[in-house]
Amino acid sequence: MDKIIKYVRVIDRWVIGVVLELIYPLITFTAAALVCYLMYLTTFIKK
Amino acid sequence: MIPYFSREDIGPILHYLGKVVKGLGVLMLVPFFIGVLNKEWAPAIDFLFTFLLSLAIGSVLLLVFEEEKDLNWRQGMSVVALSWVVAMFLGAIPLCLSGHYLSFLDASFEAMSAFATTGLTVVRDLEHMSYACNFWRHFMCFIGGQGIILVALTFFVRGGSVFKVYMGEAREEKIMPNIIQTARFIWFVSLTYLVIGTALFFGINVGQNISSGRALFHAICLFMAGWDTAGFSVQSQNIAYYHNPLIDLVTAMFVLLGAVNFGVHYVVWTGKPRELLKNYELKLYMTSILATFFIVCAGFVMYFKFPDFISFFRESFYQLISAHTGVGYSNIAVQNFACWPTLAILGIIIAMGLGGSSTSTAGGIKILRIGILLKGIKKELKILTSPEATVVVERFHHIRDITVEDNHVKMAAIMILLYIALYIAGGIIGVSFGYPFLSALFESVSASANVGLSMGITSPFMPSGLKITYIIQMWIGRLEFLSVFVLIRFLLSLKSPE
Repeated sequence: MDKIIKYVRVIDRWVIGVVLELIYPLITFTAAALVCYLMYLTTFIKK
Repeated sequence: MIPYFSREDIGPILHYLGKVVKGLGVLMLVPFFIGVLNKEWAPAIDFLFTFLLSLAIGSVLLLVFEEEKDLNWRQGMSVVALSWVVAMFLGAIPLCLSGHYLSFLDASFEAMSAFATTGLTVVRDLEHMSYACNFWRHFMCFIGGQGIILVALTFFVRGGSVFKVYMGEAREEKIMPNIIQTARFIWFVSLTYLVIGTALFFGINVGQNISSGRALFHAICLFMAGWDTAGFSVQSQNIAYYHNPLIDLVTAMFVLLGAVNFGVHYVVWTGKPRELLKNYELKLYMTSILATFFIVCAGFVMYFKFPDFISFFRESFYQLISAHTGVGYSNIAVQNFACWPTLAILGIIIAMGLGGSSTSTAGGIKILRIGILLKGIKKELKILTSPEATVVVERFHHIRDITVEDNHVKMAAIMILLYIALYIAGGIIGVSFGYPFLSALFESVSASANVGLSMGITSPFMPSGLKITYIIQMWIGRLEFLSVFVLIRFLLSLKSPE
C-alpha cells in the first residue's frame, strides 16, 4: 500500500509539473501580445 | 592548455567511435521499417545498405581496436567531435541516394543541419520525398537534439568513460548524480512531450481534414523537429503550409519548452514548481524574448504597416520565438522575410545569437552565460563603488543558489566572444562570396547558433565553399568549440607526435 501511495505521489508531482510547464509558454505569449498590442496602437497615434 | 596526444590515444578513441558508428547504424533500421511499411522499396534498400555499411565500419573499428579502456577527458572530447563528423557522412548516404540532393555535399549539409538541429535545408522537391527519407531527416534532428553521444550513452556505452563524452556534447550540467540516470531522464522528458505533442498535432491535422495516416506522420515529424529546435518540416513551405494559428501556437509552445534547461524540467517534475518563478536563467530568458520582440516590433512600427493586429503579432512574434529558441520554423515565405525592415531583422539576429537555455536542445550563446556575465559586471561595479575592504558577493538561483565566481565570469565571457567571432567570420565569408552584409550575417548567425531561419542565401545553388563554411559553423556551434579544439589538437598531434 505504501508503495502505491508513493507512486501516486510521484505521478501527481509529474502531472502538476507538466501542466505548469505547458501553461508557462502561454504566459510568455500573453506578455508578448500585450507588448505587441501597445506597439500596434502607437501606429494609430502616429497617424 | 590542451595536452598533446600520443599514439596510445588512437586506440581508445577509435574503439568508442566504432561503438557510436554501430549505434547509428542500428538507428537506420527505423526509417528502413517505415520504408517497408509504406512499400517504398528503393529507400528501404538505401537504409538497409547504410545500416550494413555502418555495422561493417563499426565492427572493423571494434575488431582492430578491441581493447576497451576508460577514456580520459581529451579522448572523450575527441570521440564526440569525430562522432559528429562520421554521423554526418553516414546520415548523408541515404539522403544522397534518394536523388533529392544535387551532390553528396548537399546531402552532408542536410545531415549536419539535422544532427546539429539547425534546420537550414538544401533539399529539392521535398513534396515528393519518400516517407522513409523524410522521416530520417526529422529523426536525425531528434537524435542530434538529444545528443548523438547521449543516445550512445543510454544504449551502447558503459563504464567510467560516459561522463567525459557527455560533457563533450555541450552539456554542462549533471541533472542527477549518475550520468546514465541523467541521460535517461532527458529521454523521459522528451518522450513525455513526444506523446503530448504528437497527440495535439495529430488532433489539429485531423481537424484540417488531413488523412489520419498522413496526419500522424506530420505530427511526429513536427514534434521531433520542433522539440529538438531543429525546424525541418515535411513540406517545403515549412509551417506556412498549414495556414493554421493553432499549429503556430502549439509549435511555439513546444519549441519554447524544448529550449528550457533539462535541469529545470527535473526540478519542476519532482515537486518544486516554484523553480519556474525563481530560476534566474528562465527569468532572463523571458526578459530577453520580450526585449528582442520589442526591437522587432519597433522595426515594424517605424517602417511597415500591417492591416490588423493579429497578423502583425502572428508574423512578428512567431519568427522571433523561432529565432530565440533556435528552432527556425517559419510561418512566412523566405521572400517575405527578406522584405522585413532592417531593425526587425537586427532584432531577429540578436535573438538568434543569444539562443536558448543551457543544457537544452537549443543552440547559440545561451542565456545563462549572458546572465553570468551581467552578474560579473554588476559585481565589478559594486566593487568599484564600495569602500576598499568591502567583500562583494553576487548570487543567483539556478536550480540551486550559486555564488558568482571570477572563473564563471571568465568562462562565460570567453564563450560569448568565441560565438561572436564565429558569427562575424561566417558573415565576412558570406560577403566575400558576393552576398549583402546583412543577409550574410543573418545566415551566418543562423548556422552557428543552429537556428535555421534563412534570408534566401541557403539553397542548393549557393557556392560549395559557403556550404562547407556553414557545415563547419553548425558543427562548431553545436559542440560549443571545446570538443572541436581538442580534436584539432588530436589531429595535429598525429602529424607531429611529441
